[in-house]
Amino acid sequence: MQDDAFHSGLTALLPRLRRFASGLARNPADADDLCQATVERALVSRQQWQEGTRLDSWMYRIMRNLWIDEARSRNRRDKTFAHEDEGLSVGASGGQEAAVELSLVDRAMQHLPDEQREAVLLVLVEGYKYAEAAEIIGCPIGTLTSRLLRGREALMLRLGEAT
Amino acid sequence: MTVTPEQLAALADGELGELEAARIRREIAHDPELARQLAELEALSSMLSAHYDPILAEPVPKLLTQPIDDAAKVIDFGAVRAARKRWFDQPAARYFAGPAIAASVVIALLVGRGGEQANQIYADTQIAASLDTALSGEVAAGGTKVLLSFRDSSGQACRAWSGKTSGGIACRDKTGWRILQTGASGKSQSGDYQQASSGDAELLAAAQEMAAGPAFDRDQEQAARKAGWTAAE
Repeated sequence: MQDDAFHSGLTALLPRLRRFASGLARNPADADDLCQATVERALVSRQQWQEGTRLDSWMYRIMRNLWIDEARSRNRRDKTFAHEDEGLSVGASGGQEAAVELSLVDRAMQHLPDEQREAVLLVLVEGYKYAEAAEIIGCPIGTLTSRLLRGREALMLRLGEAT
Repeated sequence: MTVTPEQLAALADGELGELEAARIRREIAHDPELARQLAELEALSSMLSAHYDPILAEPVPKLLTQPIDDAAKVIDFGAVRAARKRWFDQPAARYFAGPAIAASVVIALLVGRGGEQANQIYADTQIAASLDTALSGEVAAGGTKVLLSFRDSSGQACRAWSGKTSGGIACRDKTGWRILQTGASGKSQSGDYQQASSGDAELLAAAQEMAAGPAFDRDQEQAARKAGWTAAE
């Protein structure tokens, strides 16, 4: 009974988790991988979810932590190999080509630091209250609101210029 | 009074209490610049929603739903087992609710001291007689009470019994009642086993593991007894 509720709850959350993942990740393939990893982690860690607490917050937190971990290791890789890569393909890096395919909003979002982007996504797209978003991220509300403010200003600047 | 960017954002995000929201709206009503900033905030939210919300309507890839469905199926099997266990527990609990049984004969099992192979052990004549004749819940002449009957995966009729000092599970083959499991039974000293002992609980749990289906009801037991407890077709 409780297990059924857990699994059906998980399934019901998938569309929202995909939306969140598509905002966090740089491309649809990464977003799918992130969703898959999140589901796997949730199934394995099922015992850690406490009955009576919100399943959605718990799932968002798993996804968010997986993404941040991934982003950190990716940044380390990028720092190590960026110069070589750039040297091999001057003026035509794959990243820039791919970026052309992205929409205005995607590009504006990708320019945000991860912590501002997740704050913007949780509050403006996922509709979480400040307190809920701060809990998912694991930061004080004041930190959340200042990241949100800076993220918003950067987005408005970029999107305002383009229109 | 002034309105900070934080307050304006909080207003757009619905984070302000009624009174504070009302105060800031009054400020905005007299300040076109504030009104323009609020409109910008709201436009950004709309733009983001318009961009990301269509994903909600997309079908979710099977790659994501399948692992959850698979995990749920494993749980379902667990639920089936639990239901079967309830089935076993119920009649057993009823049997043990009877009055104290005065049984003076200590059942001697032909169980070896470790030297014999389990598959060579058969119930002695007294227990065999009880297993042949008694219906579940009845106490046979030797003080042996049959707890329940079931068929194992090979189709053999099996019965769990509880004697004064020990109990077991035996399945009927061509030779006789082959004992597959033995365990402690009711309290040997008090001569009183009204309640299911831990030994009986272990036997019932073992029976549950061995059973290919639910325990026999009374009609099935009577039919099986009539047929000499031979294996099902």
